[in-house]
Amino acid sequence: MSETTTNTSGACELVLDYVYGELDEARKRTFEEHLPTCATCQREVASFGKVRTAVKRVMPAVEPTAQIAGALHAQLMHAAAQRKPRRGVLLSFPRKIVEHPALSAAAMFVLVGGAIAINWSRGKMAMPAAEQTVSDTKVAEAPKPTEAPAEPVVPEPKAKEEEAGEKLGKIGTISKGGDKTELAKNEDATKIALETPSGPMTVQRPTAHRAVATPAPKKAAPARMKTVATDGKQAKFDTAFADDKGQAEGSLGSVNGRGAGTTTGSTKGNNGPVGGVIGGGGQAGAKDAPAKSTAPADELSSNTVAEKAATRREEPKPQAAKQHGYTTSPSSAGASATPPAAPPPPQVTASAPATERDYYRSSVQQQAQPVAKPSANARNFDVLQKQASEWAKTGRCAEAIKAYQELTKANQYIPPTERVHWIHCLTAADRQEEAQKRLDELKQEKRVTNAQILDAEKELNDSRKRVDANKKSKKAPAADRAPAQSAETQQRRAADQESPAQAAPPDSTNTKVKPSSSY
Amino acid sequence: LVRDDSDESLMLRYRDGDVRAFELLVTRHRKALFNFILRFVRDTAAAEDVTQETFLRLVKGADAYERQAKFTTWLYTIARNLCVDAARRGKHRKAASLDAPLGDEDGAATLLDLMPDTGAGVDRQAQSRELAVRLRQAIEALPDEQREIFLLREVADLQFNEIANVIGCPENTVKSRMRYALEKLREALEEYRDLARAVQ
Repeated sequence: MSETTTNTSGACELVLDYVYGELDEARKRTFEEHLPTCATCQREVASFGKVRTAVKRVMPAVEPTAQIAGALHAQLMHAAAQRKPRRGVLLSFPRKIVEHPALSAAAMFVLVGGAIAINWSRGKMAMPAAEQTVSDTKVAEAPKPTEAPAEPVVPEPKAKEEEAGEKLGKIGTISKGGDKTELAKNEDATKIALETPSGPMTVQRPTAHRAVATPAPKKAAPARMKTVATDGKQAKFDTAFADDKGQAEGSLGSVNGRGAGTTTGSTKGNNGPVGGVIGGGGQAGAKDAPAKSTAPADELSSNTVAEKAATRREEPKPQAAKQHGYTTSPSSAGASATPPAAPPPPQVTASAPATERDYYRSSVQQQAQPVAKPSANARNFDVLQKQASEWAKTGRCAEAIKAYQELTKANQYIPPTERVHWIHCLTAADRQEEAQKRLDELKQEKRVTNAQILDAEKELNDSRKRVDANKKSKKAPAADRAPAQSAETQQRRAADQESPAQAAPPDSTNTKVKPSSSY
Repeated sequence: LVRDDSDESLMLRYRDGDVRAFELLVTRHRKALFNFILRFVRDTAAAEDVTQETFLRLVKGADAYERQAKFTTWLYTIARNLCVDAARRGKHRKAASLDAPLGDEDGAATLLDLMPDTGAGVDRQAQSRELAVRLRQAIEALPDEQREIFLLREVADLQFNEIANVIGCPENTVKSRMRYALEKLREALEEYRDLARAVQ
């Protein structure tokens, strides 16, 4: 069937719109003007009108069934109420991803894979170079200055007696925590090796100290004692532990000597709990006196205090008192009724004390050092390093080189600046190879400025040139100088034998080496 | 408050979570929609299902609704598509016809004859019944593309441009099909008038 209309007129096209009332006013007026003149349009309008009327008669509007008005309507409204309100359009896609498990897994895979790929492309996940690992290992092996054990105050040889007594508390406090581990590690517990700037020194360990030094099984400290350790400087002892404390401190008093005990035995607590107990202050001294010791908190180990107390309990106290001839004064608290055992005079291989006062002073000094051996060594190394620096700056290159070598042997950390001094000293002492080696190490570490490195290199090159020139000049008159040199060498050896402490390396002299102008 | 609102504003309010607006929309269009669907699928149960499904489609598509076209256009587009699907399924289903004779004989009564009728006079009722049967037969005899346009225009009361949007064809095509549908129905009515005159 063809759907083309037979009406050719434009107005005749508007019949349907006119019948169904869809014409606007202007077009309606136009059609109504056309309608009287067109019989076809008149017939169609009439017939279509009749059809519409008939259709409305035979096809009346049907009311929805009860099913639609009742149950289906309720179901529909429930479904409409279940719908969640519309949320942001921007987040609709991420929301779909999150709500869908497969999409979530895919998104996670993409994110993780992308992160790995980015890191891989940037080289963050590549293995480090071998050189870098080696240098890192070296740096890690070198002990950090800040991590060095806390330094106790080592009594100076020329200190006054009161100062020595005041230090005793600190030393004794350090000995509480410091002796056990180090002495247990020491192979020969009867001797103590000291390294001093002036040279090595060996000290005989006292027998009583040796007994303490024997490694004993560690004993768990009571909870209250642990609080003492955590308090650090302001140590507060519980009165219930007065006995243990007094005995433990008594042992310290025995180490420190009688003079210290008598001078510091007051409730003021200047010397910490040690002096208070030794001097008969007993419980009051320990209880009331805030420990003003400068010892660090970690060395006030509660374990150590408890173990010492236990050790002292086992020891026959009267025997210890008889052994050292002490006459004890009764303690008010009874905690330190038995006097602390004092060690026998140490056998120091150096000079023996002349008077009793010197004896105690020397015993205090010599015994304090082995107890605090690690700290003392660290301090000695610091002193040695400072001295080496001073020697290098003042042109005493031979001594500086020796000091630096000692520090290196002891695995002590030498700052880069000091190592630059060392290189200058090596160069000045005509030890070019060693200087070059140190300089290369310094270059690899890249911890000094380029100017310092260039300066050291220039000096090293100048030194090499000077040595070469000397060699060339020495070649010609070598035969004439040989006897004279041998005589000079013999004299130098003789001088070295006389003063071994000031022995210089064979290629350097004891005289001061004038540093270069740039240094 | 919302009874004077347009269909579009009600739908937007429902999109934002106002269920009362949707309920009002359903109440407003339920009757016309059910009639259209009933004339289209010619089965009450199927018409109920399709009506319910049409409104559920509105609920599901509320988030995507934008105020670009008339709400009725959107509504009848959904309904028409569902009706087409239902009609395709209904072709394989045996449905009872109101006009088909109940017996094998030609003069047997139809289902429509058994239905009670509360009309005026007997002759008048008979003529009206005959007219209705003829007219229904003529409407059902219309081609699908003409019938759906006729139903959308007469039952759903959509304008020609809206019908064009619903079925997706030009407006002139809609008018042309509508014209042919009306001419066929007029012919059916004229035959009935000739028959009625001859009987009288």
